[in-house]
Amino acid sequence: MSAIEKTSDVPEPSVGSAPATVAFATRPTGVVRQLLKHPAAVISILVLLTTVVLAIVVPIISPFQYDIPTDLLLQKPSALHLLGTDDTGYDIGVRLAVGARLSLFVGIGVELIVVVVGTLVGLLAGYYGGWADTLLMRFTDMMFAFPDILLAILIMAVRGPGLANVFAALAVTGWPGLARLVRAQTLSLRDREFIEASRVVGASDASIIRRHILPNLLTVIVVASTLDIAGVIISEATLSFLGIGEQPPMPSWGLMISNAYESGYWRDNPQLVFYPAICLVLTVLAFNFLGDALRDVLDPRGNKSR
Amino acid sequence: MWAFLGKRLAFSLVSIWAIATITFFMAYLAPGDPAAVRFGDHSNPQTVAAWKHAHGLDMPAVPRYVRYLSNVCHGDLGTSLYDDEKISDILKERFPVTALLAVVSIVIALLVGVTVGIIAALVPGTWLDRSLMAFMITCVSLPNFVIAPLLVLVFTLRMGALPSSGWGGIAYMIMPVMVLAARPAANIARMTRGSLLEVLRQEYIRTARAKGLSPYRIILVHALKPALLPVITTAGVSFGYLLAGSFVVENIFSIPGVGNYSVISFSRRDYALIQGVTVLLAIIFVAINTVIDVLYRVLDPRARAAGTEAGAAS
Repeated sequence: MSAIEKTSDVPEPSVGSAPATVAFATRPTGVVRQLLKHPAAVISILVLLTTVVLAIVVPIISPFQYDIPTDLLLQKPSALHLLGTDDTGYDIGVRLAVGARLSLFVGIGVELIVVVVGTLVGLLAGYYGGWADTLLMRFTDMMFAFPDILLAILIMAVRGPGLANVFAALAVTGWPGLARLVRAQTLSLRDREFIEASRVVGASDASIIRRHILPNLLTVIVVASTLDIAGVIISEATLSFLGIGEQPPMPSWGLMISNAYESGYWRDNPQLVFYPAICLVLTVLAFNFLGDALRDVLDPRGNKSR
Repeated sequence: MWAFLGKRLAFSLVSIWAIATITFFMAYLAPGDPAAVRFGDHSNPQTVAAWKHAHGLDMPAVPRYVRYLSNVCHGDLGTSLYDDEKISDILKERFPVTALLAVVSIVIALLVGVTVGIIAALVPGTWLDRSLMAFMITCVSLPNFVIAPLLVLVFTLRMGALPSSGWGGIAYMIMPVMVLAARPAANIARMTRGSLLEVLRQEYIRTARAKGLSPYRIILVHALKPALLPVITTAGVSFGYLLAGSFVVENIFSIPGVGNYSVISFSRRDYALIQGVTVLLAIIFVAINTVIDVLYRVLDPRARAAGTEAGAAS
């Protein structure tokens, strides 16, 4: 999106092409069936399901704890330690699984906050317009005039490390993007004939929003938030890598990478860096490809080159 | 045009003011006492009081805020909580390193990204196009701190060709630049391809084709210039993220720039320094995007026309 669009006063055109009048005429079962025809989507879903299952199961069935080191340092993979141990003696497999819990928890949790706040603000601004709209657009313009990871870093540096602050930092920097998207979409729906029609027959604003606007926003929100989760997971890992996210012994993937890298043990045991790196990249790629596939399926007329 | 320029500049100034305000109040509301950061928990109350007075930390919020804003306008970003050094001096010494890395990286990213984008747009839908684009999506999904160890593994640990940390000479820049340029290059390549394909659908291209011009001539002479306009905007936004990305990259490669110093300051809880770095980077980011928006206006005849129409209408 160009900076030109952001600063102009002209109402922005909707994202991609005009939305289908009833975008969700495609029933959920139809969406799933179409997704299953999409190879990238199938692989992504399998990767994510595997991650979720491993994240839940491994810490339960493993004899090791993520925060209690064993006496065996830097072990190669064995029957006992399936992925070996690190330089403190932690079992890497268990730590990766707990790291997956953290990543998914932060990614999905933050995105839920972003969706609630972003949808609410974007909807109100787009539907009612007026000063609320102006205020929101000026505010999000400001937020866009600023690289969001920098703002997240500043928040973490001032508030101090920890999971709660990670949540706050990433939610605060995340919602404006979604709010703009929802606003643009609402704006393009507001004056459509079927909305006018319900207004003419006496439907209240609340019922129009609930019955007509919200269902038509679903597509945009689902696609954008799936892609956003990938970004949130990378941001969390970045903050932890820089030492201002989660703190030891929490096994955030970013923290595992920085510990191994900075201690230098990774030179002889590259797996210390690359196991968490592979987990991170696979998860992020899966969300990215799933988001792209969802866009293809839900919005077939949309602009795919974006 | 002048109206646009004025509006754009006003918006930039307001943005910078907003950023300075946000950073001030975040630091003001920070949990804990800055004196505890400076002197530790057990310190002489008199020393602490004198230090607080010298730095205006005993002032109420509003005068402190006004003083801070006026200081920022004069290029004074305050002093470090760690050793009382002037933050503007620290940045003056370290920012050139960060800026050099960022500029070299964005130039490389533009060269590689535009080239790859053109190649992909020449053969859309083929295996070459698909694999190039898949590679680019992967590049966007790879965080800096994953690419860097990979490069160090190959170029330092296996080949022994490049130094894995330090600063001084081109050899020290190769890996950091590769890491920093990867993501913007990927974004620029995707943008170039998309925008070029869009332009190729226009009617004047069809006319050129009907006249019998070769496809290469059409792309390189007639389609490229309009197609590159949106790419400039992408590059501008990328540049800001590149500056922010220097935190990770300078840390990994021990480069004596602003980013590395900030990471050191995290463990010292020196949020005054982070505040100064944030304001500096934000001002640069806003300035670059302002220049790019204006350039866009100057270069794109359609945007110019739209501007006059809007001006006439209002």
